Amino acid sequence: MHELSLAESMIEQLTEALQKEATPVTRIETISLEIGAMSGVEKDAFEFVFPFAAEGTVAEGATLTFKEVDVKVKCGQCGVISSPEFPFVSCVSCGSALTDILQGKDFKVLQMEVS
Amino acid sequence: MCEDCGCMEGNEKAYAQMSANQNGHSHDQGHAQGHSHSHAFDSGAQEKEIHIHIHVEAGVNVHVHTHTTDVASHRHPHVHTHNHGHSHDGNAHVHPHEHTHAHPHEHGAFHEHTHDHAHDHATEPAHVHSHSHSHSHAHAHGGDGGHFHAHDSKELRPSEQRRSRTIALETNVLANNDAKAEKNRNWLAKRGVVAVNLISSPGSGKTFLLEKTLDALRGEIACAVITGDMQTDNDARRMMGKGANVVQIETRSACHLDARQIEERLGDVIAGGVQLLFIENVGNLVCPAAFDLGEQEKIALLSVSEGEDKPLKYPVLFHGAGVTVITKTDLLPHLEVDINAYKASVHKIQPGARIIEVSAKTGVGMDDWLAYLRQLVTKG
Repeated sequence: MHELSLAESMIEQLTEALQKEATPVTRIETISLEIGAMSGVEKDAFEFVFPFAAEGTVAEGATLTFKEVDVKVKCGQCGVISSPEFPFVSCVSCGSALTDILQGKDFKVLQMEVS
Repeated sequence: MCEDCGCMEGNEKAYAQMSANQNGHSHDQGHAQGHSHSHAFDSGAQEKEIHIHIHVEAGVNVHVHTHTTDVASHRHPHVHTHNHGHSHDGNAHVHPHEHTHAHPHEHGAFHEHTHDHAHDHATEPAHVHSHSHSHSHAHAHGGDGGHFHAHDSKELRPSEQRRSRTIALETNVLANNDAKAEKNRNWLAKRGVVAVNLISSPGSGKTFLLEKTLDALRGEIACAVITGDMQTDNDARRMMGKGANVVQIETRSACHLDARQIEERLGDVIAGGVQLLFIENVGNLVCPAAFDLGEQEKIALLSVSEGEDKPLKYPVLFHGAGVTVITKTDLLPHLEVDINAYKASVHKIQPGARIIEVSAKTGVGMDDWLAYLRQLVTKG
């Protein structure tokens, strides 16, 4: 259950970002997140703990939206880019295990709506 | 245009159902109306929009609704049920009025309504009723008394609601942890220290393997240990007295170590020519895998009694580990498990992953493990 730490870390990061804003922000209304299938983050768990982390902060009451991202690998043998079924990382086309993961490992904040 | 009351946005419109009104008789009238309004306003407009609805009923009954607002947009379907019973006897008459109003609202911004209901009666004695209220929620009311509804929901002042804007970020949620981890990595590299982060389930044998490792490397490689547990310093006490600097981090509620905790303790253990730092993470296959601590290598441990499909169940760790150590191999004769199934699972998640099999108890495989550590230190 590291989602609580993630939520706290995210709020800390958003708060820092808001300090750079010329116009003061009183409230974060929406937070848009990208969640990779291989990020190790559980969407439901994150949604569950977020209100506890946000309580008393500028993010209190914010709505979370999630963009879920598949794993994509590029094969080092045949060069094909494919989306193998999680958790396997082998090339869907030729089966080679020599692949680079292009996406699906990240858990990112894309943007926030503030007022 | 509303068929019942004939209202139009921004206009005044009267809808009349006229009938002769005579004294000396009694009659009951009733009508039920359902209508909805939807208004869109220019949020930049400073002028207030005023909507007036006038209802004329049987020549004796006029309702005026005034909606005043300066908000960006709002919708409010109205359902009105009016029952007007009239008893007329000569010049004297009594009007019992019953009004039920339900105003469900849907809107994204703060606004105020004022409703004025004036009733003019053509027959004597003439009287006027009026009441006003401001509200934002569905409500029902009976009678014709004045009342007031305050807003009880979270609302924005009009000065705030126009400032909503988007800030693009595109950053990792763990960016702050990652930045601290990178700082730790540089700090360690500057001092020639190699750090490894040991991650496994509770009870897989991390501490016992480290005890044996510190004994074996004593006098050869200067070691330090940061060990994390939710509670107790039992592990630190077990590893003390073996020539290494050892600190315990009690994480209390956290299920993993993070880069900040390591940063705070590095100065306590890295001294006197330490070459190799073992970070023994909190026993957990999930969470520690997400937090970079500034280590050079993540090491996953998997004991032979845990089940060969653990790498499939917890792929993030086993995919990211530089090496997987299969521990407690001395138990194999007592368990109906196939060590090749363990290895196959690891390789499904990370093809070509390096696997070291070890029994810290009997010492079988310790040479491979120590050779791997020596190689890390040599490479720096």
